Amino acid sequence: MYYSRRKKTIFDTIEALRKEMDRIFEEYFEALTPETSLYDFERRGLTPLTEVRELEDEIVVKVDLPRVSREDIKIQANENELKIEAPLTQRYKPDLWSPFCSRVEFDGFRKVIPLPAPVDPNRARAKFKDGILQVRLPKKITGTAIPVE
Amino acid sequence: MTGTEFSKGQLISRYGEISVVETKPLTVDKPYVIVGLPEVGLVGVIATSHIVGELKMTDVGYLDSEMLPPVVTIHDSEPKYPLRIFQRDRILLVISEVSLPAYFIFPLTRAIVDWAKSKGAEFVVGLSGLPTPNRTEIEKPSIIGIATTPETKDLLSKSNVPPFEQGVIVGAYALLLRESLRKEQPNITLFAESHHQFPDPGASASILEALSRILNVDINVKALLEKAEEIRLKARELMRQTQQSMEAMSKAQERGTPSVYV
Repeated sequence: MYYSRRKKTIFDTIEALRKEMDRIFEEYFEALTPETSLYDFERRGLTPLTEVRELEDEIVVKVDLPRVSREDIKIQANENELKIEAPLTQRYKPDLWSPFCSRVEFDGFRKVIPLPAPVDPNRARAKFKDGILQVRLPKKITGTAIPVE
Repeated sequence: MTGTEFSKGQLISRYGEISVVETKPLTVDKPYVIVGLPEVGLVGVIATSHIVGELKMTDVGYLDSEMLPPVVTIHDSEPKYPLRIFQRDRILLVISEVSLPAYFIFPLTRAIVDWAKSKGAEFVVGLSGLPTPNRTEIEKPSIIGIATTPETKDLLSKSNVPPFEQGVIVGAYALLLRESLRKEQPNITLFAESHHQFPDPGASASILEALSRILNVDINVKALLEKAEEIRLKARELMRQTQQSMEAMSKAQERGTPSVYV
């Protein structure tokens, strides 16, 4: 096991305090942030379940789109977000809720997904299989090339 | 166990904070106790829910605790507890209809194993999913299993279920296995290749085919596969809440490179 012999300075204590304050603020604001509802009653839309993974050179977004046809899916992307719209092949009427809520019928999925890093939307690729949409968005390359001597 | 009482035709067994209430007399010899808790891809919940319908199982009890969310589900005009027990022949089945808070999982798995042991269970069966990055490319998910005794290992092998040889399991089924080991209660836990954050009826169907072979019980999965899209629509909210609970249990460790060496 490794033990540090360096004595803690006042700066270490300040740094530790700063980190703790950051953690407390993050937790506090996370608790305040309202969750996106999976159901938009006014527009009769469903918000799909999504999975966003950031890799070294690309961002992979998976979207769960049951009861949707590939030809009906509309995808738009810019550097910072991905917009998905997909109508259902048959309207969905939830029957597990209270009888009052189940009077509503939903006609499609809609979601704007913020991306964790800027991407190059022109190089994005999408495929749809078994009701799962997968979009691969290469990250935007910025900066200047550095020659190796 | 901290106590048992018989009241108004119900047998109530208390395991710490959790009560197991048998609303109908249970005289099952060496039962198999199948457990379906919300986890990866909701594989266990979708599978056990299908078994209840397919085998026309009888509602014989429930689990209750002040630690559970304040929820009652309503089925056929009857209010029901969210954690219920069903029975048919030698099969006892525990299913949760709601997502469970992370802090509740430990006392729950301990109570389930204690209760299974008190019933003289032949073995406990856990049904779960393992997050698989290329799940979309997989037509029929594979199944692997863990067994805790030579007899259950032999049964897995005879049922053509390959063993889970190396890796890490995190979450409810890991605790169910740990408690089973601690109490020397035989346990078989099956894992299907599964979507991580999306409900996966296909993975549930594969796991039920393996379970059919292990228990030698016919469980038809055709209806489950036909209803797959509807199940995926219905189970979205439970999946999202389960995801939050899994994050609290550091479930993501299963997806990444495990921090173990030996």
